[in-house]
Amino acid sequence: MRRYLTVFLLYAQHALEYKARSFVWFFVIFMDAMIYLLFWRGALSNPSTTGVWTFSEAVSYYLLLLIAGSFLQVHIEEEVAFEDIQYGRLSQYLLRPFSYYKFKFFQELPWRIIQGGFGLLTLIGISLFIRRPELIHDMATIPIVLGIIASAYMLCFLYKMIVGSLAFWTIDFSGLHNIQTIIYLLFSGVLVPLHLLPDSIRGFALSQPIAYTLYYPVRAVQGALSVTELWRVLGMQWFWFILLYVAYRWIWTKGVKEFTAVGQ
Amino acid sequence: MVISVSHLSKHYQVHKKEPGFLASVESLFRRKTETITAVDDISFDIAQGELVGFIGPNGAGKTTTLKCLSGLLYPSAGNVSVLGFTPFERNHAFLSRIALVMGQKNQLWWDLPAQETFLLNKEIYGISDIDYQKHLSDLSDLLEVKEMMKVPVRKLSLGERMKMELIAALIHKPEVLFLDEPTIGLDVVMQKKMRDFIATYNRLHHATILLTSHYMEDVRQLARRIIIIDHGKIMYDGTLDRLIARYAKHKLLSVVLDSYVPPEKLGTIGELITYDFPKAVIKVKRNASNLAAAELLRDFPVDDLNIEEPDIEDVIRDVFTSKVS
Repeated sequence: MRRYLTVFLLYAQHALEYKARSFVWFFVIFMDAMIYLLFWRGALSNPSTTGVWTFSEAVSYYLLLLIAGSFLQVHIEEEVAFEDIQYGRLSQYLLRPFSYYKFKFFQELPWRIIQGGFGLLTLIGISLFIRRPELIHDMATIPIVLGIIASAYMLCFLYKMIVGSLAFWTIDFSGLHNIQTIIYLLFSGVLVPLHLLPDSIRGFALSQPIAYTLYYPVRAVQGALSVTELWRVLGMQWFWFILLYVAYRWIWTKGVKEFTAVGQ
Repeated sequence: MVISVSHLSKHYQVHKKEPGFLASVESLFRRKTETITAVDDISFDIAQGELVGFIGPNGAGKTTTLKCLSGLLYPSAGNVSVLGFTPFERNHAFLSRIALVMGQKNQLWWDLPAQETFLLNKEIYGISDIDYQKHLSDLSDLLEVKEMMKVPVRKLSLGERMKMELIAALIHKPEVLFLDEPTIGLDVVMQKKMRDFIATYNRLHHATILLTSHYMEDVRQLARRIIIIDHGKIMYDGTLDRLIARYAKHKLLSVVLDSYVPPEKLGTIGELITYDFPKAVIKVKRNASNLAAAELLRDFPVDDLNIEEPDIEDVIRDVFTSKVS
């Protein structure tokens, strides 16, 4: 019996050491429930929003999200945090006369193109055999929409680089990463279209930078935005990009001084 | 001076926790931290073309110093200048002229042939096609790996991978090379090849090399000057010969006898280290070695006699234990 008590206490110590992770796992379950509660509250109590959200629109939204998610949703933060910063592989980038940011950007791009290709093939298959999604009808707006898609990718990449760089200050990045995943799922429109959120948080959800990485590009491709709105989205994407880039440079400059190149 | 280090210190903050569950609970509310001094106020200069051995036990501060010199770590105090640059600024002009090779880590792509990494480095360092081909050919000839460059890295042996690492690190002809345990894990044959290569690179390119190694043979064969570091402080900086003269308190008389002599009789000359007739090794006081040798020749049936310096490992152990600077 004594040996089992020792094992129990040892793992209890481990759980206490990674207390943030324990809290986050609880938080994930909590947030799942809260997000669906928010969605149904918004959808059922606000006739003005449900009125503009038809079943056909909903299908298009989630089908387009399939491609947008696979093409625009960057996943570089885990590699930056775990492999590069915490396991020390950043050393090999820092020692070469090349921008780490640009290196990672072009490293991630092929993955997104290939995964986006899979998403596109799936969408074509669904369109041919099941249902054709609603897409932009005004061909003149295509260049702006393409600009929004490209900017969304750059903005998402920058945001994920910032998230990954926070590993300079954390012992256990997985807790932070899980929180980030919840925030991203909620505020990018992956779980719930942002315009269907309750009034109390809709304004904030639609104006924060994560919305411009996925939600707005999908709405733009759906043809749900006017020309003026498209230009506004593009302008806001660049506003957030500049702001976040300044933040990234600051975090990087401070963080790299914290880098201990452990194990490398 | 190519490398100039003045009063360099590097401290780390580490968390401390007593063992046990209760200590974990206490650590939830009050976390103890401790400052560890990895490098403690060290200063040295290295001239162009010098090959310096940087030695010390585990945790002495060797790798931390190398990381500060290559710009990976931000020093807590002091000044460092390499090729006139401040390393931590990681100016691209600086990074183009240095390389840090760590024996146990790699920059090679695991699933692709090493040549792909060389090509990537060619673009990163902006090397012309002609220079790249020539330098790659020279390096692969020197290291005898021409046939292996198209084989995926995962299929290479440890020694072959280390050679590829060296090519990847040297493809841009760095003027300053930091080598951290370049022969670790290699067999004796491969160790020798690595040593020969490092010596040749140093000679051909007049490169400045700072080398750390646990294998004293690396240091003995390659470095005329050594810096010994322990607990973050420099214990010795000078030539290997001077180190031995200064710290080795004994010499070894290696003798081959004509006829058998009882060991207790040989023991009158000095401390009998080994005796396997006809060979014997006797440890004598350094300042009395000539007298002891003369006595041995006069009173014993000696066929052959050599006066030898003690093992460099023993001398360095003495330095660490005596803590004399």
